[in-house]
Amino acid sequence: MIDDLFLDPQLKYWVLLPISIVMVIVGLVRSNITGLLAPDPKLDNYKLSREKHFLKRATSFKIGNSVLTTEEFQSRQEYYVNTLKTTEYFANKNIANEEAANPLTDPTANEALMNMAKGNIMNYIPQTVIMAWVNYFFAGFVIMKLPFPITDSFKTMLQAGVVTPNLNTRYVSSISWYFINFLGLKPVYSLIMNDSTAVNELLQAQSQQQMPNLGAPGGPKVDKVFFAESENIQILNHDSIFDGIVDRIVESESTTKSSA
Amino acid sequence: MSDKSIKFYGPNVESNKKNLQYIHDVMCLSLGVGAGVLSLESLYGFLFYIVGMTLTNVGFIIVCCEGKPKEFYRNPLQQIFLDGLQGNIAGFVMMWCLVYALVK
Repeated sequence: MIDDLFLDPQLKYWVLLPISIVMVIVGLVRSNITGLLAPDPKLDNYKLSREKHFLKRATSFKIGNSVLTTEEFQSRQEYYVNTLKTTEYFANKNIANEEAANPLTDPTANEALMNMAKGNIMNYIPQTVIMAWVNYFFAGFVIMKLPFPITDSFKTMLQAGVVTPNLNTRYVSSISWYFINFLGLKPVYSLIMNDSTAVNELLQAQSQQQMPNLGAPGGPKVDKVFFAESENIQILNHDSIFDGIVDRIVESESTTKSSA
Repeated sequence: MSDKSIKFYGPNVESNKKNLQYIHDVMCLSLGVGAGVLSLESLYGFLFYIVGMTLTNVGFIIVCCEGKPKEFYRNPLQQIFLDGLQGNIAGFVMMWCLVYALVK
């Protein structure tokens, strides 16, 4: 094993820093372009949006019911359970006998697929391009010494293109600096963009939506979703913040008095 | 109010998380710079990170949470200490490698 190696200090300025700067800039540009490429929200059919909003209302009730008194809770619970079971808010009343459309022939489905593909391409192309650029431009450089030792099994990966078989594994090539950057740039992005939600979108663009997208190809059927929601509301465990509020206020007042 | 009856309001929980994340981001990068400037190697660097991050978290709990992290986070021990440590280690390693290489 060769223990010490003298690296040209110019490598720092012409290899190390450029790779980092390029990766940061590409990440920023990519997040902005993803924002621009996002399709304009189309206007829904009013019945469809009514359906969605009713579901949202029921979900909000499920989450926030603790601010209601017991009587208010019970009347609302009854209303939601009953209404969710009827077809009153369905966008398409005769949904039961509708066949699932083939997603490949349906034009709206095609558009959704297209948007999904666009998002994924925007994710993969920049990474591939930078990796190819680093590999081509800085091939065979030993650019840095890692501050921690790694086992020899990483040699083939971290010293790719370096033709010195006995070199200590701590000396690594440019591609491994790319990998370290790739893993570690998240805090830098979130500091620059000052918005962690954008960063999370950037890092995991394939994350699913919260609400089930009703009526979309392959999405769940509206009657199933409504029925599940009505059952959820039926078994809801109501825990009102007004329960025992007098006792709590008296208690807190008396403790502040006694401590004062 | 007993612990059980505390209601969490979603946007506030998010905003608390964001503030904590900001401090973790800044600290993991600056600890990386510190470890690089000190030219710490192997285990000492990681120890430096763990100790520095834990001190930051303790400071965060005392200063920002006024010593009562339970009121701001659902699961303070996991959210503040463990997630902060393992989620930001990549950023620390990156900064450590960079500054170490620049200093050497």
